[in-house]
Amino acid sequence: MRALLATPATGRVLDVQRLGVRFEVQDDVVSAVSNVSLTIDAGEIVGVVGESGCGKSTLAMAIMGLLGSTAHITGRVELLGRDLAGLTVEERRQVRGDRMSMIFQDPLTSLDPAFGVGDQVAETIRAHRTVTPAEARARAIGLLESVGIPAAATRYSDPPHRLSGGMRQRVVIATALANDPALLIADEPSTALDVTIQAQLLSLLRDQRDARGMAILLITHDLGVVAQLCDRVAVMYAGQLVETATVEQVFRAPRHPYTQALLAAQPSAGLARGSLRVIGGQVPDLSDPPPGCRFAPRCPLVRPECDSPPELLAAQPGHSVACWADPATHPGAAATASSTGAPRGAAA
Amino acid sequence: MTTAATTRSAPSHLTRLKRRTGGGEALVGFLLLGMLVFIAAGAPWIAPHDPEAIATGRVLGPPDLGHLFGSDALGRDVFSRVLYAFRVSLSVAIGSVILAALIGVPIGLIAGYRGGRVDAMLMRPLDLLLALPALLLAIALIAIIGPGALTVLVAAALIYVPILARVVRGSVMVTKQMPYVDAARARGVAERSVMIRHVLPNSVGPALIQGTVLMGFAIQIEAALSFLGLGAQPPTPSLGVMLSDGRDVLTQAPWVEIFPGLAIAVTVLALTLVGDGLRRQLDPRGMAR
Amino acid sequence: MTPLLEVRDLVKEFPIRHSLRGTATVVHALDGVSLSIAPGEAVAVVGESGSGKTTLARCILGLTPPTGGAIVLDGVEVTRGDGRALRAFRRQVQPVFQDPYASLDPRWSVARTVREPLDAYAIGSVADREARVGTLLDLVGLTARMAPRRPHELSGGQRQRVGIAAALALEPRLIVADEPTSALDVSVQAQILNLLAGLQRELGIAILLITHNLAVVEHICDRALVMYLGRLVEEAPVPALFADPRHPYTSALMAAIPYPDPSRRLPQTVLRGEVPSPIDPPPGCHFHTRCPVAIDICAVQRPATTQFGPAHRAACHVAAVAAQSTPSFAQVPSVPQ
Repeated sequence: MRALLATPATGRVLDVQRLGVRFEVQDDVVSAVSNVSLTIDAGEIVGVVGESGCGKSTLAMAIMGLLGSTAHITGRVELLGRDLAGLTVEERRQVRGDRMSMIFQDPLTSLDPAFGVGDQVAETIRAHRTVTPAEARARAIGLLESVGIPAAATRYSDPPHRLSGGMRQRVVIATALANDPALLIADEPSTALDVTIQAQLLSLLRDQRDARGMAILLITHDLGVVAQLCDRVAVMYAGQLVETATVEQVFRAPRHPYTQALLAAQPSAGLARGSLRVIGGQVPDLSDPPPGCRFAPRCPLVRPECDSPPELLAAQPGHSVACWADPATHPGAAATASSTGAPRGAAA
Repeated sequence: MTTAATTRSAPSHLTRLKRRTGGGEALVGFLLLGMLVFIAAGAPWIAPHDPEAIATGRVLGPPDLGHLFGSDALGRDVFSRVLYAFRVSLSVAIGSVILAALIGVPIGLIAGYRGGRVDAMLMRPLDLLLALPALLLAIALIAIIGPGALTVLVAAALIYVPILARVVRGSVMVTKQMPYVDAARARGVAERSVMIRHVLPNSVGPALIQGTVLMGFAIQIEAALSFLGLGAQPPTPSLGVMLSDGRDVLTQAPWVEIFPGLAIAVTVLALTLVGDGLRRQLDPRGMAR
Repeated sequence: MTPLLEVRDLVKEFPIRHSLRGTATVVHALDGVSLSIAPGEAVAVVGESGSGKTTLARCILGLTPPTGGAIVLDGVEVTRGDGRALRAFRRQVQPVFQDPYASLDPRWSVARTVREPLDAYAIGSVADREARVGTLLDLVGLTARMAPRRPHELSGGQRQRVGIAAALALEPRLIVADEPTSALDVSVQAQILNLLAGLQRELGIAILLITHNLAVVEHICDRALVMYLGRLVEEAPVPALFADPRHPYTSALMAAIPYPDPSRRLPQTVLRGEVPSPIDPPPGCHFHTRCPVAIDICAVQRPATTQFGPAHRAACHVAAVAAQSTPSFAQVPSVPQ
């Protein structure tokens, strides 16, 4: 398996093409992810940002292959040039934890409460490498130290509850990095942590990326975290990508009305006191989404074209947006509120 | 919040019913149980013959049109006997659990909510009761009070009180931590009201499920005791007694043994299915939303 | 003017029994916290895990009895009051909780939940209460259509509004909001914060906002208090706190905020180490184990509170020394900002 997916020093690590995920829930079909394409190169940190229910976690799970049989996945996911759908179940198991790994939001439930933390790191090593228990232990201690756990050898057998939340998350990261993966998927890794600990964790992720050259897919709802850590950003709304850009482009000159509204709603310190901008209306029901642009019912720039789905088109190099009102991708579209424009819907 | 569905069909009645009862199997269980209760209640009208009517001419007669389940060693119609015996068994099963709940649920509620010394004081005696082997306890009770279906009911209830109390107590201990309980207290609601109107309704789920399981057991306890001759006494018919009688003639007339046994099995099955359905109904609703 | 609420030297300790070791240890959740809230004022209490801010909220709401100290409402001490005093107190001080999914009884309709405080205090006739429920729902931006709905039919933001409506039912003078927006999406957070700010302005209700998110504080609060491991480390009007933090922990908290601005990257090290356990807090100043500017006395003596300006106080040896520094104290490092 390693020979098949050897890590290149540079180059494309992840290539997601038109990924769609549908769930069958009793009578309904929920379109959780729709037509998402993105790429990540070695050494890049790409953030997928959106609010709850936008499908970003489902996207991550689909890439990892962790969704159950209720999910119908369309599209292509290529890791290091190899189509993951073409792998057998056993091959996929070999890939997980080795060539790509994932860390989750809650460090408490990500670790087995019955085992020592060191053992859990060692377990991941031994699942993918033939090493003696002593070697695995030594490597695990090394990993724990490299993620900033002091006196790792003494804490090797500590059960997770003996460690603080920040420490546990570091252990989780150690487990994820144990086999030097080409891709790390981090789903809200710092959301459950205190802000000062979060700062430490983000530093850690950045340092590890610098040291190992791996690609990171960061899932988060926190635009602040995105600004701190990511090179590129993809904004998701109701299962679709509405904007992709470099991090500077997204924060300096956001093009999609949803992105703009999201940025305006951030209560960041330093801004003048006063009312925060709100987005009227609610997220659409994904079992019956609007046929065209899914943001249209809440968009101040809505116009008749929005009844058909907009494509994600490049407005500038590296900056794509899916919006009929965007003048760069749809020349002739005036980016002003149309006469039908007021956002509808009750307060959330 | 939901928009009018134009692209998906409205759920059929069957689907909706399935959803309400927690799944297809549970629906079967409910229907079955309903049918059994109906039969039990209607035994006097449904039974074609007098269950006690001895007919020496029909001793160990095989099943035929007039006697669906055949006849036993005394020529009595097995079908009619099963119907009447069923009434007794079902009454004991349901009655014992209801009695146990009336006692056990309040104890569990108060013990779980108050905690500390009150909890210890209430639960210690129940733990003691729990420690005694159920069947022996029942037999001891029968020795004191005397045999009979009612005694079995009381005995089973006694066995079940600590079980239900424990289940409720555990559930209450979780529920009382919920923020909405704190919210009610902080809004000035009296503790007793908080306990009864917030904690209790949200804690009975597991007890309900356990209750159905216990009903299934009760049927078997009643049958076992009656089999031993300690339960329902003649002339009261009982499934257990029928099982006991049937043993003697098993090779000659298996139907005398099989049908009462089948009745017990079907009832327990129905109760188990209902219990499973309740579990599915109560859990995902709580978690998913 | 008399403060609406005064908390004096509040102490709260939770005993833990070690079943194996047999010794009893104590969690020092609150270690002498004092604060006051003026009528109609919005005050924030900011802290991370282990700071004791939630315990403080629970003590003020009467959900947990403090081990020591006093809580005074309108000049009357209510700390160890009996049932009647507690009931009267609760009418004045109402809660909003963090988790919109768990702070409403899942079996109760919205109307019933909002009406419950009115029922508990038997206010008006039943018809009066129903009418009031309508008014309250309106106040928080919910329509009457929501009244018969159950929590699972509502969104997180809507549930939180229901919680606020219930809190307003008794016309309290103080609302204690424990992380009211932490579990909500950012765009919904904005709506709820605006709502709270609006209610404070229009109804003159004081708000005590417990939060870990400093960024939120600026939008609705007049004053902020920073807590660390059971103690108050700094207190100031919000603009002063942001412009001129005196305590190194406050500075670290601010430095740790990830701004949605790629040019403002977090420093490599914001704050090292982990929060010590409240069972065994460090001696002297609790923060000294992680403090970038700790000096010898910090490990030995609990810092006294120094005044740094009108309503701006902090408990820090280094800050105190720096404030009175003359040129001859040049070797004392200044507090990083």
